[in-house]
Amino acid sequence: MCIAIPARVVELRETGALVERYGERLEVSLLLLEEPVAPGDYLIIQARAFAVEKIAPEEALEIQRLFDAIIETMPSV
Amino acid sequence: MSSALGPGEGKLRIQIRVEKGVIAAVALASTRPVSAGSVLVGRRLDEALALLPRLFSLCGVAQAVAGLRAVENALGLVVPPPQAAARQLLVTAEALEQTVWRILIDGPRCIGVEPALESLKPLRRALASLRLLLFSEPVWMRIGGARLAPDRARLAGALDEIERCIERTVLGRATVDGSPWPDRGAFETWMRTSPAPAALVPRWANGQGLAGFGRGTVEPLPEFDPAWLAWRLANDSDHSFCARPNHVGGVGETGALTRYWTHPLIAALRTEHGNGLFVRLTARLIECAAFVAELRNQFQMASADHPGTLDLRNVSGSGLGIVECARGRLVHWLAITEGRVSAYRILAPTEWNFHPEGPLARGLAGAEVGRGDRVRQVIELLVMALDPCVGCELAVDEH
Repeated sequence: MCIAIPARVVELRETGALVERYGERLEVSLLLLEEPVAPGDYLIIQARAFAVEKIAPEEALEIQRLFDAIIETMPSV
Repeated sequence: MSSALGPGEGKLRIQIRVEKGVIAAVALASTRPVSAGSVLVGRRLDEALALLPRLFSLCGVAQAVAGLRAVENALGLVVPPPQAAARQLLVTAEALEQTVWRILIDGPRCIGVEPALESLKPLRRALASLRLLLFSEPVWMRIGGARLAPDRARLAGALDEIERCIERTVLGRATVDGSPWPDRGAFETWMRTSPAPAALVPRWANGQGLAGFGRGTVEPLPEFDPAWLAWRLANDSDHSFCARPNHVGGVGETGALTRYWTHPLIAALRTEHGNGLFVRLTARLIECAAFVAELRNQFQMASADHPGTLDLRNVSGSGLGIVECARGRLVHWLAITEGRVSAYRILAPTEWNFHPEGPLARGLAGAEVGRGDRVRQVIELLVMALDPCVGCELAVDEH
């Protein structure tokens, strides 16, 4: 299903970034991105390790709202 | 493999019990949000379709085309052949990128080799350029078709670049001509001697005696009877079928291996290794080369098309949309009431391949895996070869 929740950049590293989504923090590579990234940007992450796309903050927040709605429909894990 | 995933994405949990080097028990459970399509309910059709690629951003084109086909089937719309070819070209491009990702990044990581990220960038750039070279408006997923104005010269250039990238960084020059490796001998020679990154993981698996690892008895998923599948999904309001599907009481496999099940090279390898790891890895390589040829075929069929605007305010009906994507057969079904989505179901290929009675579970049961770190490594490699669309949490209990 290839679901990917946008992650917010918390801090830049030498070749990557520390990102956060739903309170979970990940170290990800930025090597596949073509555009510059700054703290506060939103990224799509693949395989929990690689940023593959930067998206606009308003779009990221809309997607997060959708995922909030999806989570409400899920049985508790 | 991950130990924790963000909520919403869900995960697969694979629990393995190993006794004296042999897998004695396999338990698979999924927390993937199979009801994700429910967030589309109540929305206008165009609005719902626009959300699909954002919700499923790693296979967004396949999801959008499955949604478009479902809507168009529901409304009895027949899309002109150039539109169908242009959409299929984008589906193929996405599947090629995902396939290359498995070959260049996920596979090497499983065997402790640093992935060659830089080499993926030019391919990603060329694949990403295709959409705007086909459609003359940014929103390509319009019901009935979007304004199609292929820039043939630049598209041909992009396809050349894609083919060069596959030759240079994935398969090696001799293999990209639409029919790579004429026979098993040629393939095995290439696999043993080629410096191409694609040869790395199959060579490692073969050298480790893992060619038949994970072989099992689960057969390819047959073609669906559309009427049966539509009925089954329409009556799946609790999403239990989408979570654990079955077909005529059984579970089938879907993906690169099943698409090339009767390919001469795969058929030859199956006689010795069944549907084991090496055969799965080989099928993905064959498909990688075939995708390049498919892109060229679809390019030939994608000519200019200017569909008119449709009035969808009061339409009703239900329909099914099926797309073969990188990971296998993806199915969408929806119901429409007065121009809005009244029900939406998504049946993803992962639910077949990682079903508790599916090819991973059946292939692992009774398999010899050795001891220690190797146990986790070989299981992760088989999981990668079957290619789930969410992360996995693997727990190994070794006795």
